[in-house]
Amino acid sequence: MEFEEILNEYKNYLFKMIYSYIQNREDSEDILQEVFLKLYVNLSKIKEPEKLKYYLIKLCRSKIYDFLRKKKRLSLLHQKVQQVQSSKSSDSGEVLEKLNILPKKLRDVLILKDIQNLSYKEISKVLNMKVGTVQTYVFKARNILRRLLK
Amino acid sequence: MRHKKYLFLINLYLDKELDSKKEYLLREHLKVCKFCREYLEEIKKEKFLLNNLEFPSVSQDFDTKLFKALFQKTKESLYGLEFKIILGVFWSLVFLLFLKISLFLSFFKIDPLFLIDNLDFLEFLLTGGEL
Repeated sequence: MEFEEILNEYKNYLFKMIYSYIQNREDSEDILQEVFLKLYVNLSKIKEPEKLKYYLIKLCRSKIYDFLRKKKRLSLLHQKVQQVQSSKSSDSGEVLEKLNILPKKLRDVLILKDIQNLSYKEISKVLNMKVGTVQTYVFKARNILRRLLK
Repeated sequence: MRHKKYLFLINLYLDKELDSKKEYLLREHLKVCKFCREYLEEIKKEKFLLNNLEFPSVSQDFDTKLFKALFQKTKESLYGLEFKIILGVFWSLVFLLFLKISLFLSFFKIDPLFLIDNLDFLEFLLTGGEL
């Protein structure tokens, strides 16, 4: 698969995932750019094209957490949390905010399940978990979010 | 929670990952349990909400920015390669120089300390015999 084809196919899909965590367009695009730059370098090493989607999701997740770690460190340094430009007034912004209150693992599975529409099996491959664990995490995540949204 | 088993199954049912036998059991239970029916509706709504969240789209100039960054990265890595080649050649020359001196010294059985005391002779070696 050519780089440009991959870019067109996955650009919006991955952006959606990144934005779910970051809730800021510019930062999300920066992360997305880093993901595609890394993909460009490693594209020849990906021997199984069917695993490309999982590779990209994993890469996104690691870049997202790198970004969040850096942001946390910075905010600790400045003792001032810079508010992200989230659309707090909209429903989507509110839901995403609540979603980001969830513990890391629960948030990951719920984003992959209900926003990225992966199957339990696919999530288990991406996160290296058993399918049963994924099912339990999704169940727990939905229950917590349900209470948060009430 | 009394219905925990069924609540778990409801999630699998909504994700279309429940086998027919369990689905039958769940359907039978739902007929008689208001609590689980309400839970099913709530999770259905939640799923719908997450599935239909509004996301901004990627900027139109994203591709242009990306290709610019790719070009820059390629350029940098090429410069990096050039630098590595120059460095490699430099150290190879240094190595050859030391090899030449050490071969000369061992061939004529000259003490290396002699060279330090007689730098003119070292220059003689380096210039290939022109003093």
